[in-house]
Amino acid sequence: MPGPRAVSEALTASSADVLAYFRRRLAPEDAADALADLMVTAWRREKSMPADPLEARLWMFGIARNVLANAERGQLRRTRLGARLRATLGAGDAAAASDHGIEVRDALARLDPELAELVRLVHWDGFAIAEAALLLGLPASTARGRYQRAKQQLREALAPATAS
Amino acid sequence: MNDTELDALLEPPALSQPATLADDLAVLIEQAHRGATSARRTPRIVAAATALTLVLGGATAAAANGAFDWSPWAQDSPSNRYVLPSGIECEFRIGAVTGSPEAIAAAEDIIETTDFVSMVDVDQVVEELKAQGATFDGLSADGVYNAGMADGANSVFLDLLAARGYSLDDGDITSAQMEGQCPGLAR
Repeated sequence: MPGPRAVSEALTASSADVLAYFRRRLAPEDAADALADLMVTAWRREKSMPADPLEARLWMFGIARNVLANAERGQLRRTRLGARLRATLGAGDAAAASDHGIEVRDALARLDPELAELVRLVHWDGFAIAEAALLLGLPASTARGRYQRAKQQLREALAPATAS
Repeated sequence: MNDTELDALLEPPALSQPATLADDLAVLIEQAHRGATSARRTPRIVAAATALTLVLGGATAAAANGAFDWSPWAQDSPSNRYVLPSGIECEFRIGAVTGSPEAIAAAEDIIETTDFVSMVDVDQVVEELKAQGATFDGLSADGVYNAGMADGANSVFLDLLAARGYSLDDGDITSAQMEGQCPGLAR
């Protein structure tokens, strides 16, 4: 059974990537609180953390999905835990977010939410399709089919914008 | 547009990398550890316990006093611990989900990975329940808090299921149970 050291190592290994996951989906100040929520949850759930580092990483992102869903319900709490990171992220992300292609974000937003999240997990977070399938609770074959469908829809949606 | 061009468009949004980020994350990991363990004290096992059976989809919770063992389904379910206004420590577990295999798998994943306690704003839930006409006559502050926690956890659970596309209305989930113990809490 993983102990505190294993949890600390898993968080150290994954926290920057999980933070990026939140920063790409939430406002900067919310991303900091979401990460704090995730870390508290991970410590409270340490007995259920897989010992294998790769499985532990997926487990972290499974928690992240739930925290994100909660944030999207408007239930994220401002905590003292997140204050320091909130201050660090500050204005940096606002500028970064505004630089990213609006057409691509719009095209993603018009996809079915599950298709969009599958694309984000693969292209933004670097997961293989099979790993993203695990996170989304889908059979790998289903995820592969949906991924191809999502890319076809994106290709069609983005073609006029890039041609002009 | 070919795949390479599309992949280039799908490159992730750039994120700033503050110089202190690594230090901030290391500090946060330790702070979160302290925060998690300070609220996770071992519950006392005393004669009086309270059991809550939550009915999915409703705000009703039936309480019974007296010590009891966890139901078989709850034996290995993750524990969710919280502290009442009086300082009494409580614990609840969610499980025994029935429904479609896919919905059950999603529910079990949510139960395993969700820190329900941190996600429930009890005061807000109680206010919402009052606004809906609920009364808490005869309940102590602890009893009101407990009712808010149970209802809030229920909502979080259902909302997280809905976020994954499963709902009671669609029949994906047909039942689930919540069981709790609050040693020393009089009803």
